[in-house]
Amino acid sequence: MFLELKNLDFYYNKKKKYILNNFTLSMKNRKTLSILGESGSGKSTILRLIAGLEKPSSGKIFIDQQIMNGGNTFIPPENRKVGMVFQDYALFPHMTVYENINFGINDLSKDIRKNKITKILKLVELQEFKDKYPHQLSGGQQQRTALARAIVIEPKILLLDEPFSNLDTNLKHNIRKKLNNIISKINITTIIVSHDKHDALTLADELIILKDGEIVQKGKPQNVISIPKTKYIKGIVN
Amino acid sequence: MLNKIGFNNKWSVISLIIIIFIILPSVFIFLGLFEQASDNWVHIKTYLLKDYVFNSFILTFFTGLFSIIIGVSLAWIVNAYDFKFSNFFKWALILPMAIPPYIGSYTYVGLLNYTGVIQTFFRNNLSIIIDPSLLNIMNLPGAIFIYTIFLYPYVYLITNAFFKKQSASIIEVSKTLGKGSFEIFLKVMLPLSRGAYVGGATLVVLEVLNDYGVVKYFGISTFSTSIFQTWFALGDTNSAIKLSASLMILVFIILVIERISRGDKKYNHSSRSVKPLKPYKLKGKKSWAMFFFPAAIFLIGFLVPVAQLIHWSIISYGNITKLNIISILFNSIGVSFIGSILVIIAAVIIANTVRVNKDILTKNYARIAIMGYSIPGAVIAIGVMMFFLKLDSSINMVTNYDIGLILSTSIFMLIFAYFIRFLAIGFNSVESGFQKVGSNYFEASRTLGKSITETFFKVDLPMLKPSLISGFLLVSIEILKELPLTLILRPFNFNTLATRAFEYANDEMIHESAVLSLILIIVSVILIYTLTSYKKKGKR
Amino acid sequence: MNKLYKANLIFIFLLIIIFTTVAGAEGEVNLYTNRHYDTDELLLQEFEEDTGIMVNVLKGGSDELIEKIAREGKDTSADLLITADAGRLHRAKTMGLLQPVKSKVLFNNIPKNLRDEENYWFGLTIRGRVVVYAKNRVNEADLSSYEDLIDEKWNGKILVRSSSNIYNQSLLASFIELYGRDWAVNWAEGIVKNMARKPQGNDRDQATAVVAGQGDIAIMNTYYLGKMLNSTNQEEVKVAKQLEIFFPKKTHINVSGIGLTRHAKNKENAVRLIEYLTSKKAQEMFAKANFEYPVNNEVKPSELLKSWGEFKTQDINLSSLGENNKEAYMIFNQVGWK
Repeated sequence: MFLELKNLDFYYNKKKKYILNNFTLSMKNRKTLSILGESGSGKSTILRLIAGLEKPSSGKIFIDQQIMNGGNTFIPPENRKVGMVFQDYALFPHMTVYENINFGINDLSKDIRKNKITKILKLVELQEFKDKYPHQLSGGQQQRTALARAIVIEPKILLLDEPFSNLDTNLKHNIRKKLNNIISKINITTIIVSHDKHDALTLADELIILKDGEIVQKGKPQNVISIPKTKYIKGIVN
Repeated sequence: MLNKIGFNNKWSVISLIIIIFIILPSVFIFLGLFEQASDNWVHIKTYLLKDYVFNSFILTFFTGLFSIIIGVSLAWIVNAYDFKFSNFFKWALILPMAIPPYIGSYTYVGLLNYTGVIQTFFRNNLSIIIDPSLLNIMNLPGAIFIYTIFLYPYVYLITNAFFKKQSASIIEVSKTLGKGSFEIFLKVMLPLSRGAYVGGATLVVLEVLNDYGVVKYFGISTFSTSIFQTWFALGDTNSAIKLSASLMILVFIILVIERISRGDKKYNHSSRSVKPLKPYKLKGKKSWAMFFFPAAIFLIGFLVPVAQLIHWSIISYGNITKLNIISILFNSIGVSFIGSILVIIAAVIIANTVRVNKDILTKNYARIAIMGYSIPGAVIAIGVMMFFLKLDSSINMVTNYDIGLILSTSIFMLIFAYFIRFLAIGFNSVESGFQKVGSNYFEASRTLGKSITETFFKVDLPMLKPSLISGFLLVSIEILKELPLTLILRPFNFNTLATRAFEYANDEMIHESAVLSLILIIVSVILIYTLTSYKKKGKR
Repeated sequence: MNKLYKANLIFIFLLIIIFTTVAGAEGEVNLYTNRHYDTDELLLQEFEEDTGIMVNVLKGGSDELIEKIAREGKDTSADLLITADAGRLHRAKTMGLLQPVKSKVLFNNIPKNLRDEENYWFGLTIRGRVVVYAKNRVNEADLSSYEDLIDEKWNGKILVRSSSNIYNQSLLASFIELYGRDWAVNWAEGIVKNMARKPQGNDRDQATAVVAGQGDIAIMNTYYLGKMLNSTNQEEVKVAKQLEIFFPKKTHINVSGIGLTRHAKNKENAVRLIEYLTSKKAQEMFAKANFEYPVNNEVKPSELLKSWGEFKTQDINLSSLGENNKEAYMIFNQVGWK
């Protein structure tokens, strides 16, 4: 398995309320997984644990056979090679598109960087916008910049947190198509978290439905959506 | 679970060192608490304590109250209305902050007493003799007046910033519900801004409790005068510490009240793009009517005292030409610059550590960082002095070479005391800056392969710049005005504008002190101007 | 680590070095002083020019300075301590912070009653704490002694500053020494009863209040009247001209004085400075500029002070002001003299 989450517990200190309880999940290389669930179901926490932005209370995480988390080991986020696209994109406002993308690879030599960024800009169709600042871009352009910034470091895993929640509904369709295109081109292990079934349908090889930190249904997206096991799942996929 | 990200990082280590340095001087003080009570303490309790408590309470309560009334209403007026000179007032109303209350008190007494301009004018030109007790301000109400008029800007500044961020739609909605503008202020804006003005008033109250100059001159005994008195005049460290402890309890109660009255409610807007409040344009008579109130406050809080100081400077300038004003000015600017830089650096380190490490130990760093502001200046001074003497003797022991008092005779001791005293102000600015920036950028940068330190310099620092600069300026103004610490801890041949002005005034040479007071005020005004113009620019 | 950060550290370090290297050089004397008058600075400058000895000055409240010397212990950088009150010098002595000086020059310059019995400290200038009255309302014949001030006829007429002031504390301390504790309590109580208003402001404010009609007489130090007469504010001069000084029988005097610290590092230079300050030349300037009386008998008071007339002083050792200070402070609190 390429990604393995083993018996993860996660709770906030204060109330000892579990967000995740004995959560286990594994993924094969170069697959795309979609996680659907209501807000508070723990789906964003899963991404943050994989990225190393949160420490689990107990349990283990492996990426590409290497332990990230467990026992006394904790690999900080900067050493995990995990690319993440944040819900609000978190583009650095004081940097241009070019500088944003350059940020994660600035220790490489100049030529290599230039080469990489040019390629990526072409891939995400932002060549003309490379000197613009984030606030001068449309929502879709911002999203693609964030995606470019995340994949230029050639991550082992790409994490997308609610990638479309900040966009107008009538634009979503087009943007989703574009994003789908890019992701299938780069072909890396990807996890998308969302509360919108359309994201799962267009992008994912596999779909998980999450409720209160537990997997309630798992399978091919088509199957899950056509035969929901419970009322809760039905509510989400309809 | 100790913390969430990166348990062993340099940030925690450096923060811990800073925190230890902040705590150590207080440890020296509070070790004394366990000593036996002296017979002085019985005397103080019998005859004096009641007075201290009563006076301190009356002063803080009414100054706090009036500061809120003036500060909030002014902030509302300049944000809600567009009237004659309203843009000028927006920053001019901060200016009374440039005048230290003790200078203000000397100025007002000089202005209003028998030989002052007002009584003299009536007596000599109109042959009207005013009952002097009518214009006597050397009493509790007078002290409240002085504090309010020179300290309300703390409330004004914070509330003003709050109103600026409010959405116009709140007012528009209230209007569609048939509310008049006064009612909107009273029922909507006032409750909304509670957190802001309570925060400002807390600063005012702490300043009042700490002030020494005004109450000493007016002959009002409060905690801060009594701490000086018992410590130095009675030579009774023990009782002084007990008094300090009582004062700290009082401060603690105030801070708890602040917490409670601020509430947990955070009235933040969920969406980022709010349409800001647009001032309602007043015309003709109404515009002038609105002009009156801010103009009166500006007159009393700034123009009048400054005019009086200018007058005194002119008549006394000849007497002080022997003074090396340039070097005094250089000293003042030098210590406030270095002090503020240190404060901001430490504030950034601690605030970033608190943000990154969310464990319980680190959370308390934030509380310790702001502790100094609530400790009376005299107590900090003695604590720091004891601490530095101890340091010196350990240096001598370690180096095994008798080099004498290296640190405790240096300017470093004073700067360190400033650091402890004003870290709270810098820390609050920096912390709110971090809050504004949020953690998203930080996290994004971490997933892009950057360490905490690299993230800080490349991502956080550029975005924090406005908060750092305004924090720096605020601390500079405070250090410039600072008195008790400087008086006790300065090294040989070292004068600042504040100490020199105080010395003249204390020797009953108020005219001679005017030139120095005036220079001090000018420097503060320049800093305040930079602060406001920078904030405007920073908005983009 | 970031460059800016490093640069700051270096900058701060340099500053420490600069400021600490000031101390330690030869040919200097370190003075902690409670007097802040510009004339003092001129005198010290002259001393520097005459002798080549550099004088480093640290100003502050006398209590704070004493506390500082005590805390610094044997490493103290202070060689000399000047305070504006004999009681404070006495306290420094009893705390073991001073050492005696044997100098013929000093014994010659300063009369016995104006220095410590064991020569731990020496007076520099003299001021009296006297009664100042409104010429037009008070008949000089009605004034006689401090004791007379608690007479009913002064009910609501007396102006005096708060008891936290050292001059008042020393005044009461002298009464304790002369007449005993009960007398002092009685006196303080009587004054509180006769006060025209709650104590507030400084000595000058008391004088002004007399002219303004808030009271008839004020208890204050002599030199303040001199200062008012020479004020840059014409109104203040006018006020001072309506006032007259009265020296009560056995006038209470106090000195500003100087003492050599026990752990002084520049003893020789320090003694030279004391000798210089009590010399004829310095005393003339010293006394004149601040309207005080010189301690050196050979120097005559200024014309203004002469015009106030001669007076008889309390016959006590000034050390007693320090010995009785705490008692005085407590009596004030007890009788409600704010």
